[in-house]
Amino acid sequence: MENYRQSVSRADPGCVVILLDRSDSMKLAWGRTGASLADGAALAVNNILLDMCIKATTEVNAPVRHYFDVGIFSYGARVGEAGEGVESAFGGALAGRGLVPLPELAEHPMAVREEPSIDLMPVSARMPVWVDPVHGHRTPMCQAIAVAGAHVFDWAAAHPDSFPPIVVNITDGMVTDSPYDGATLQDWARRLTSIETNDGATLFFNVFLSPFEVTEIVFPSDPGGLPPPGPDLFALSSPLPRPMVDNARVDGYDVRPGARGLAFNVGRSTLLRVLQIGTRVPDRVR
Amino acid sequence: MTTRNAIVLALTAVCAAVGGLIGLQTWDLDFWRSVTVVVVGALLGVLLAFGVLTTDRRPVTRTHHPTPAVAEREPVFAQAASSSEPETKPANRTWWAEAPAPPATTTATKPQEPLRQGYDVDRAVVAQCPRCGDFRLDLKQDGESCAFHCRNPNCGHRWEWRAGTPWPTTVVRRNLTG
Repeated sequence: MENYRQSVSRADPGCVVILLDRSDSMKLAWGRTGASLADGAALAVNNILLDMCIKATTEVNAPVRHYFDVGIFSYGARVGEAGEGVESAFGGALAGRGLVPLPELAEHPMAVREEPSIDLMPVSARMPVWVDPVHGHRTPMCQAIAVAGAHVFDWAAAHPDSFPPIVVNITDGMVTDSPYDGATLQDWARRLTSIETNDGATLFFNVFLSPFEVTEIVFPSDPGGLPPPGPDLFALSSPLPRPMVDNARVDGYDVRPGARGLAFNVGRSTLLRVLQIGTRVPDRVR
Repeated sequence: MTTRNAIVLALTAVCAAVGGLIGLQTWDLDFWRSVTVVVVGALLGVLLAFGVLTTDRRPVTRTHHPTPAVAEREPVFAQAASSSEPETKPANRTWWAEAPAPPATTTATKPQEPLRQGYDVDRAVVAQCPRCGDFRLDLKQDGESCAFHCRNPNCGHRWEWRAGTPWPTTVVRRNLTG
């Protein structure tokens, strides 16, 4: 039977985990935006969380439905304690929490602030904020997968009939902690994607940010031509399943057979679009 | 407008008029000025009442949630990479070596699949009465021939069909749809 057919509902919610690079290199300016990679990544993450809350509200003024459990794990500089490591990136009332049900997430942003438009239009809007821009230290990506994997593992065990967990890694650099605990980054990715529900294996998507304005490569089907660390990220990334292929085609991307969940050298607005494509699962009102 | 609102409006108009008349006794105006005072007073009263009654007093729905904004944190500009090793192992767990929990809920909650012995999905036909469009049909099968009888009490159409021949054209007659 074909996998990745399950829709999300309150009975069978989905799981979205974002791994957010907070290493020192995220302080670099992102193209001509004038803001740092960390600023842009945090803005995109806050946008996608708001997007998910809105899409889980089926009626005006109705509460947000529990369609997803969401986790944001940062790696690099930590906020909760000084130094390098992995922690929940949520601030405010959700600080330190792993996976948070969408209704609770909607109720507890750390602040509501004036934020700039992600597509660089000269407008801003007041929007809830769950994650702050932070950067420092190295890039312990393996540890991030290890920490997030424990949450994903428990979630999959508790939701065997749900759409498989979706893990999106947003990074701008090379992993600095491989091998971690005796396993390489490839091993950790394999461990993560071996977590399954009855509807398929965990999806691991990667988004590589570049501070320079270079050609964006979105959902490639071939690692050839990708500069480092593109081929490595391609190998780590899950093939795009049917729902995401459909999402990407609706958004105008030419998705070839064998396309992977990888976006390379993306700008700010593309980052948000990729997050939307990678986290959009058909919902079933129930 | 509710009955209550209508009563309040009427009472307001009456009170405004009475107020105007009382004012006449005080100021001793001529006839047309008196009429003007009464009319303007009444109009103002009605408008005031209308404004009060039609003001939306429903609770304001917050578009954003009420968590008080915490003091904005400055981005962390940390020192250059330290030489210390990363933090402790993830929650001291080796989840990748654990056996996944059995999907206990699936068998308990899923409804029983219907028995499908003798059901050939490639030969299945959804039949519809070609006269009224109803799906409530009786069927008598004799080899490849089928005799149908529509159970719609307003129709009762009977027809025969043989496998491989085209299905009779369906023309739904509204007066038969029951």
